[in-house]
Amino acid sequence: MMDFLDQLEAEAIYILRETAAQFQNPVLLFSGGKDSICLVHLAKKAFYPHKIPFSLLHIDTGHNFQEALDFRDVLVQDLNLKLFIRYVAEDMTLNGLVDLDQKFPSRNTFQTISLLKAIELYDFDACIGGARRDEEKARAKERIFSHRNLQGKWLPESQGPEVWRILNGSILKGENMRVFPLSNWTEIDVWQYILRENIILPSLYFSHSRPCFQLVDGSLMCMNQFVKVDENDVIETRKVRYRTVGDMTCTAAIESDASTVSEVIEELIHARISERGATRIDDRISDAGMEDRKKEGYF
Amino acid sequence: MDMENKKLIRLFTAGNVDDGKSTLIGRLLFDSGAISTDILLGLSELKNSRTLHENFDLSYLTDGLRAEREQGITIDVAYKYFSTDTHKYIISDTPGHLEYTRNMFTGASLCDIAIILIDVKTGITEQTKRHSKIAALLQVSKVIVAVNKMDLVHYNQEVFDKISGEYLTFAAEIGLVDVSLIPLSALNGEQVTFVTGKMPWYHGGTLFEQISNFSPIEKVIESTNFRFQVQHVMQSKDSDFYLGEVVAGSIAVGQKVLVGAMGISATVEEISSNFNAIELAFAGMPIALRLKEKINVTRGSIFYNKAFLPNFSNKISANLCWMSKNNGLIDQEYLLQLGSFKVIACIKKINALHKVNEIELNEIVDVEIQTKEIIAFDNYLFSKELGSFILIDLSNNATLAAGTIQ
Repeated sequence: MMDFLDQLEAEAIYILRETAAQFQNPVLLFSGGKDSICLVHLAKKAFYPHKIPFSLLHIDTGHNFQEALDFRDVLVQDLNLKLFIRYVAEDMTLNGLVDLDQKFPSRNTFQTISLLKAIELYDFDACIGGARRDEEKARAKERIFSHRNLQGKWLPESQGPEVWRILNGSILKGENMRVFPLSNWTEIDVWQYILRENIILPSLYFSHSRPCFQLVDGSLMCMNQFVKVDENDVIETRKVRYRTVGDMTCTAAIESDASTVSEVIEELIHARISERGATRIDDRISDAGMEDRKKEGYF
Repeated sequence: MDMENKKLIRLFTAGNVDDGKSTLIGRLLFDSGAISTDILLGLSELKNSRTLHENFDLSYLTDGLRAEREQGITIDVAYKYFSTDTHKYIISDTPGHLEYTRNMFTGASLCDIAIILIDVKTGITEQTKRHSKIAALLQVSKVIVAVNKMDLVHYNQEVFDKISGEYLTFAAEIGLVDVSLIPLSALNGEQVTFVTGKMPWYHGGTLFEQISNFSPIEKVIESTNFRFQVQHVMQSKDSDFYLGEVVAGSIAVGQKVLVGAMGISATVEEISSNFNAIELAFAGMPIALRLKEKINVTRGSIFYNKAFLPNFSNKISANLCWMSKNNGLIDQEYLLQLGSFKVIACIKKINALHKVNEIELNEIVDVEIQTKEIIAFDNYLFSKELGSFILIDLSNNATLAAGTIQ
């Protein structure tokens, strides 16, 4: 008998297979975070005994955690996959853009430019991403096959119907489909799946010591070369882990002793703060921050 | 946490505009502890005009788009999640406005349970009937009718009984089988997750209890009613692997299967799933399947057992829900997608009381469809996967309609 993890897995595999079948040149957006690592694992299962029939794409902001980059390179080598990397810093130079003069200089908006550039350059017609509907309220509204127009924009008010499991992957030349196989997974589902499948994650997700300073809302920002520390910041070494792995400039850590997957699950069962709420400074810009970014072509 | 055999259950809420759907879901999530503290704080900061008298606007949890919050309405379906020890629930909060019926259908199509809200002050409306008909069309296993805003009628039993009687008569007419009605107040939670004794005359339990007590009917798994549809072909030198999901029944290595509308016989040589070669696969399992014989198999091909054949025809009788502003036209060519199978098709006849030649947005009609070639399909009652389809606009790729095969 299948339990809910089997059912979620079957749904994700179904979506991945539809993507491989309906598109000429799909690519998997890989960030080195747990969701995209799970996606790669699911893709391995979906096409076994063959190898994954598409490449990976990483939009490298230049603000990544070294652990995530190292993890990415080992994974790509192990699976013998092709990895495309688009460097945000290069696109910024090309477009005469410079980092914002902020305490936590986010490259979120620049990331969209690089993503759309990469889609155009390599002619990707489908981009598979690890986004989940439970992460954020605009994402809760998105289809599994989420259409992007010729400008790469999401038009939430004119999403087409998506009925039963039938996925309509027909698009015009130059349009793009974003595909979300983990749409119906929650954070804790992902962790339970990681536990069951023995999926290896970057060490960032487990308890370790780091010099950090505390933000007004209590979250912990770790010291790194991109964040501007001032005299009010009190630096102290704390035992932390990351709930999400994004840019070093906008991802906060949480205080934690959880050093195994089971301990992380136990911690999450009792957590009273949402995943992005606990960690993402970039979401706090405005109430519709994610929706606005997505409309412009963001992940 | 006990994860053994914990199952996935999908439910949707529907009803008229302002019947309190989003508030009800907010209440379910809130009382089941699925809302985090930071999200709640966000709610107290941001309120819309619909519910200024509340401490928290719970509808804000599901109205995720800027336009929805500005207009105070639900435009598109929002998906939310909560878990109990025995089930993981996916809730689709679907829009009430007639013009967004396509989004309501999107949220409802895979669901096991329908929660249809009725405002006790307004009673049964056209939208109540439309949403109930869609639930019947989709063969939703259980329908729970939440008669909401009971606080506004002082929890009066007579008002509830009247609506209840009318609804049950209507439900019988449209063929809904498992229907129950609950009087409740989504706003203050009464009879949603707890009972404070305001309606001692009602003994049906809370909405939460009714949801929790529901278990989906397990499909009988036999080798005879086997179905498999090919999603993708992985070609290799020796023989191809066919990727897809077992849609019904079971299949074992060595068994004979028939393939496609031509019914070509072949033998299963290898089944692979979960990184392993396996002997036996059941409904719901994603598998890679290899045949002994080299025959022509393409994406969309259906495999089945000779003991239980699908239908083969170029004519389909279906119930069609039209979802586009461009009217459905007789003899116009569309692309019909049935699971992973695509074929050119035309509507040949619209069965209505008076003769019509077009289907308008949000209409649900019986139609006769003709496909360009003979195809294999099932009745929707037997298989949601192989008994349902969409029609696609050949010029702009838009999904125009959803159909269930009769």
